Amino acid sequence: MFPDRWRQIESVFEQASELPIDERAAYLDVACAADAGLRQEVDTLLSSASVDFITQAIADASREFSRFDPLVGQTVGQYRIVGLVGEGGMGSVYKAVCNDGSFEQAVAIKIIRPGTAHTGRFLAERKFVAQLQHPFIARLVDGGEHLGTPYLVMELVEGQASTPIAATRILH
Amino acid sequence: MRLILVDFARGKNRARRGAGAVHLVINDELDAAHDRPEILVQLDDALNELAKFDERKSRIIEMRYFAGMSIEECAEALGVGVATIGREQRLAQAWLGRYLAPSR
Repeated sequence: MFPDRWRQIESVFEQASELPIDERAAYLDVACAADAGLRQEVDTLLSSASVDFITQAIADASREFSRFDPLVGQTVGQYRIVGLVGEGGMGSVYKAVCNDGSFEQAVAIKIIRPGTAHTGRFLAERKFVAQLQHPFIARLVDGGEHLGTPYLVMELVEGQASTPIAATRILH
Repeated sequence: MRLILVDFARGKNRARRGAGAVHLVINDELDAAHDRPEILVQLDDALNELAKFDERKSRIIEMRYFAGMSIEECAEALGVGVATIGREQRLAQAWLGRYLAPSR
C-alpha cells in the first residue's frame, strides 16, 4: 500500500463512515467518481467483518496463558514433567516419567511454589516422608532441587481425592 | 504483552503440529479454543503489515487490544486527540477485519 493511496482511502472512508448508512452510496458516487479502485477499497472496508473475534481470541489466550504451566515439558532432575496433577497453596504436583529411558514408571513430583516462605516446612515434610514406610502411604522415591526450588518425587497413585470419598462413606 | 501472547500462541501451534504421535486432549474447553492461537499469529502478521504504511494505527490496535489501554490513555501516549484515536481505530479495525476475513 502506497502512503498517498492510503491517505486517500482514509479520507474517503472517514467521511463515509460519519454518514448514515443510506447516504454513503451517494457520497461515494461523487467522491470516487473517477476512481473505481478507490470506491472498491472503501466499500470493502466499510463492509468489513467485525473484529470482535480478535478481542475474544486475545482474552482467551490471556486466560489460557495465565493458567499455562511452564514446568510441563521441562526436565526436573532425571524426570520429565508430562502434566499437572494438582495445585495447592504450597505448590504443585506433577506427573512425570523417568528420563533415562530405562523404565517408564510414572511418578509424582511435588514442587514448592518458588518464592514462597514454605521452604522450611517443605524440607521438613520431605525428611519426614522419607522415614515413612506403609502400604497406604505414597512412597518417597527421590528428591532434589530444581533451579533452587526443592522438590520431592513420590510414587504416583492414580485415583480420586480423599476428601470426596471421605464425605460419601462412613470411615471405620 | 503482544510478544508474550503471540509467542505463546506460536508455541501452542508448534506443539499441536509437532511430530507427536500422541495427542493429549487436556480438556474440551482447550480443544474448542484450538483455532484461537492461530488468530493471534495472523493478527501479529496483520499488525506488522499495517505498520508498514500506517504505523500509528498498528500501535493503536496494539495499545487498545493487547495493553488494554483506554482511548484517553492512547491519545496521551501518542500525543494526539481522543477523536483521532477513535477515528483511526475504526479504520484500523475495518482494515484488520478485511485482512483477516479470508482466513477465517
